[in-house]
Amino acid sequence: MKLRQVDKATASSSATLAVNGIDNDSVYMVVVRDLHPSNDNQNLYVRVNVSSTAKSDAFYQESGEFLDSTTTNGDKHNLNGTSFVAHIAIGNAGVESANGIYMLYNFNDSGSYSNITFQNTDSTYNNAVVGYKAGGYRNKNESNNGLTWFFNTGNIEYGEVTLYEIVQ
Amino acid sequence: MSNLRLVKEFKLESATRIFIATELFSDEFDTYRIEINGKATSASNSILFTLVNDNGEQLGENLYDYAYQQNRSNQAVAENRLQNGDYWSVIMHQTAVWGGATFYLFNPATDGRYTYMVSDSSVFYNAASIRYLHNISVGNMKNTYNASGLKMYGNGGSMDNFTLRCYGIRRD
Repeated sequence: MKLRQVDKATASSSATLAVNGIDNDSVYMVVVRDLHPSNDNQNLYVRVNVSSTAKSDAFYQESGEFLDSTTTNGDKHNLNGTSFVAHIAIGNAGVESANGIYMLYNFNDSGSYSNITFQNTDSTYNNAVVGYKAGGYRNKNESNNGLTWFFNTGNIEYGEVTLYEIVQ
Repeated sequence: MSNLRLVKEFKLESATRIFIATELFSDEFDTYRIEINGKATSASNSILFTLVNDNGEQLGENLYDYAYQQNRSNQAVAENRLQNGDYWSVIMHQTAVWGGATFYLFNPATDGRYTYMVSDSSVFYNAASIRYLHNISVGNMKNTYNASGLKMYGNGGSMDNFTLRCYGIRRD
């Protein structure tokens, strides 16, 4: 596998964080690292971008499994959401943070749905490690050139996201 | 040049219960992809992982959290977890033939950050009641140590034949 870096965004008390630059039909990969919320117990949401603007309409579908070091794992389903709910209950004590690897499929193709998979590993407000192994899609035919992240309240104090194209 | 850079490769061709790989992690990368391609083993039940320093000594006690889910070919899904443990349990199997695993590690040698792990593995499990395991795991190590590498050890028996490749994911 070969990777070509397309875009990178670094948070500094940022309300949102975005990467863009998807412009062909390759599979893309995103590394989410160290996203730390200003407020405790925050969900981290992700939206697709159209022409570098996040889309908030209710076309986000996802399902997956939460793995939790403190309690029984749980299924999660989200139908017609206004974002992907990719990371749950992130803590802000010490250096707790959200991390993950996303794979992006068909984002550039304006005639198909954009699909995504998540492999996430996070520290939650109650000092657990919680992972989200999941997938989703946006059931709207459109070309998406990137992603935008935000916590439900407060800022992304620090951390970074990097977008790579998987090249031949 | 690819942003995915091979850091180091190990080939184990004789039986060992404990395998230590150092000089995998440095300040050159923050995120790593680790591929394990296992061919033969006499280990049973699970292979456990810890972070190690330059001398191959384990970093941290009572600091490892993990959770996993096992998707089994002959049984219902199973799961397990540990809080404040001494290792990550990532690969489960039982004797003879095993399979492979891919990990992503975040921040193992990054100053002032916890280390996070997420993995997928696919293994043959030599018990008629199970036969096959797809194991998905997550974990973290709740200290800001800068690690050099990994220790892998079977909690019973040995690992006999595998290849480990560690790649750094370059961020420019």
